[in-house]
Amino acid sequence: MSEILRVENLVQQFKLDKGLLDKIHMEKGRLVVRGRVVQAVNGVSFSVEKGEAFGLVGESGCGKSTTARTIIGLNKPTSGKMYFDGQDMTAMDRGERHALHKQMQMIFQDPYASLNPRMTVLRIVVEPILFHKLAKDRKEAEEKAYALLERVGIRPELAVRYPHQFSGGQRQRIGIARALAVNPQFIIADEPVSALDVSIQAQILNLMMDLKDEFHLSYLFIAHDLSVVRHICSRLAVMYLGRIVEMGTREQIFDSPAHPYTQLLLAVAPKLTGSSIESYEIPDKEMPTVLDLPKGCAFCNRCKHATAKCAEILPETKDLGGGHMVACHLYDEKGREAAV
Amino acid sequence: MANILEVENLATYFHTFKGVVKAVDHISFSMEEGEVLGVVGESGCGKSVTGFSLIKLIDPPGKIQADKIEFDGQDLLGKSEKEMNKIRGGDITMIFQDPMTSLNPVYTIEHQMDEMLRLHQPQLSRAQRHSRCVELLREVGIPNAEERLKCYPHQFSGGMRQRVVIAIALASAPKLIIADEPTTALDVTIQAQVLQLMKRLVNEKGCALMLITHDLAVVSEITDRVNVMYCGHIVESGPTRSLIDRPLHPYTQGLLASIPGNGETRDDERLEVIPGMVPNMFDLPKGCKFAPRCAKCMGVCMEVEPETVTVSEGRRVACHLYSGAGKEEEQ
Repeated sequence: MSEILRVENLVQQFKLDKGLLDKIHMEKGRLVVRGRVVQAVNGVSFSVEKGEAFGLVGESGCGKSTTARTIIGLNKPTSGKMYFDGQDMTAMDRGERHALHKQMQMIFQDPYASLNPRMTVLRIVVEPILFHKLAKDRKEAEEKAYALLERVGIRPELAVRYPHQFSGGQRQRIGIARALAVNPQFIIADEPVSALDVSIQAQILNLMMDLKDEFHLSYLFIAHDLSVVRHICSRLAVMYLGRIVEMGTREQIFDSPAHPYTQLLLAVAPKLTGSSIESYEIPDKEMPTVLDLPKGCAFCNRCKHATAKCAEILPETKDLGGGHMVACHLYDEKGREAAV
Repeated sequence: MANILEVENLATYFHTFKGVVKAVDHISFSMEEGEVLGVVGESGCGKSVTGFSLIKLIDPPGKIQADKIEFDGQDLLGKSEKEMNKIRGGDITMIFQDPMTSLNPVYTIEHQMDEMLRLHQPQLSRAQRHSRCVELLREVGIPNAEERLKCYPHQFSGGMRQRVVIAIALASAPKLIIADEPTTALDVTIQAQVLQLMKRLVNEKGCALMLITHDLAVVSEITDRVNVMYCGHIVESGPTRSLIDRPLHPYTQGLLASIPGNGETRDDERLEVIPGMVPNMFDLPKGCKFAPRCAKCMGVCMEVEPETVTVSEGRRVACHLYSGAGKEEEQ
C-alpha cells in the first residue's frame, strides 16, 4: 500500500490581535508589544494509506477540525509540510491547488449550513462537475448527478427541491453526493454524523462504508465520538490541545490505550452497560486554553501520573511497537514503561 | 415510596395553519420521590415538549390537555399562571441544553443566583443569600466560589457554566429537576463530570430528576427507569437495566442495534439500521406510528393503535406483538 496523504509537523496559529494597539501590554512597568496567538495545531504528523479510513479524535478545541481545514486548503499553514499522493501541497500555486480538489473533497459537519439554500439539490451536485469540466455539457453532468443522488439514496424526482425541504440525514446524503461528484480519491469527513439522530447516523455510516469500497476512497474521518471512529476507522490518532498524543491501529488504541488521556477518554465515555462513570475518578481540572499552552505536556494538569518532569519538558513521541505511537513521559525511548 | 409526579393522558397539540401537530399524544407515567427517570428518543419525538408541558411552559398555538398532572399532591392543571410561577424555579426547576443561552450574559452569576433565592426564599437576608450562593457554587465543584460569583457567564467554560446552571436549579431545594439534554453540548470528559455531579446531588438531596436525552448510553449510566418515546407516544418503559438488556419494542431494539459497538455488529461491518425515517408530524400513520419502519409489522399494526400493556414487573410496552390482537394474528 502507498500513502495518499502525509502531514509533517503541521503548525497552525492564528493571530488574535491584529492592530498595534491590541498588542501593547504593560509588563513589569514597561510597554511591550506582543500579540496573542491561538496555537490551534502544534506540530502534527501522520499519514493516511490508500484505501484506509484514518480517524482523528479529540474533544472540542483539540485542533482536529483545524487540521482538516488546513489540509483541504481553507487555512494557510503557519509551518509544516503536507503531501498528497507524493506532491507537496504547500508548494502548489492556485491552479495546481484547484486541480487537486478533483481528488480531495470534504464532507462537513452541519448539513444545514453546508448546502447553499438558494440552489436546487441537482445544481448543488452539478456545480462541481461543471467547474472541474468533468462532463462535456450540462446534460451529461445532470445525468451523472442523478445517478449519484440515486446512489446515496435521494430519489431523482426530489432533485429539483431545495435543501430546506430535506431532513438532516437526507442533507448529509446530498453533501456526500456533492463530494463524490468529481470522482475524488480522498475524502475528509469532519464530524459527518454528529448532528444526526442515532438511527440516521447508522444509515449514513453504512453508506460511507459502502461507498468507500465502491469508489475506492480513502477517508480522513474526524469525530469526537469514539464508538463511531472505532466502527469505521482501522487506524486513528488521538489529539489533545493541538498535538497527537497517541496514534495506532484500532486494536492498539481501544484494547491497550497507552496515553493517560486516551485511557481517560475511553473510561468516561458513557456506555450501555451503565454505571461505569459513576465510580470513575475524573480529574476536575479543565483543559488549559490554547492562548497559553503549558511548557511541558499539555495534559499534565489533569493527569494522575504527572510528575515535575511532565510540567517542564514536552514529551517526545515514542514507538511502542507496531506503529503504536505515544507522546508521554511514562514510556522511555525504547517504548517500555519508564520508571518515572 | 410515594409518587412525586403522576401524569395521566397528557396530550400537547400544536394547532397550526398547516394542521394539528400531536407533539405529545396521550402519555401516562409517574415518578417516585428521588427517582432518576430517563426520557429518551430521537429529535421530534416529543421528549422536550413532555418536559415543558409538565410546568405548563407551552405557548400558543400549543395546547396542553390531560386527565391528571399531579405533582407532590397538588393538581398542576388547575393552577393559575401566578401559582405556576411559584412552582417553576421553586419545587420544580429546569436545566437546559445550552448553558450559554440559559444564563443571562449581562448579569453576574451572583445576580442570577440571588434572583432565584430572592423569589423563592424571601425569608433570607442579603447576607444569608450571599453565603448560600457561595455554598451552592462549592457544592457543584466550582473553585474560588467567592470570586467566581462576581464573574459573568462568558468568563466560564462550557462545563463550568453548566455547573452554574445546576447550582441555580438546586438553589430552591426543588423536589423535581427536569434536565433537557443537559450534557449534549459538552465534551466527553466534561459530560462525565456533570453526570457524576448530578447523580451525586440528586442522591444527596433526595430530589427526583427527569433526564431528557437522545443518548441511550447516558441513560444507562445514571437513570433508574426510562421512557422511550417515538412520535409523541411512550412506546416502552421500564427499569433501565432490564430495558437496555432486553428491549421489547422493535423501535427500542432497532435503536440499540444501530449504536456502533453494540449488538451483533463487529467493527468494519455494516450496522443494523432502522429503515426509513421519522414520519411527518402533520401526516402520521393511522395505526402504530412505527409500523412503516418496523420489520415485524403485521396487518393489525397499520390499522389499530396499540394499547400499552404491562408485560412484567414495571415493564410496559405499546406494541401489538405483546397485546391480545397481535398474539392472535401471530398464531
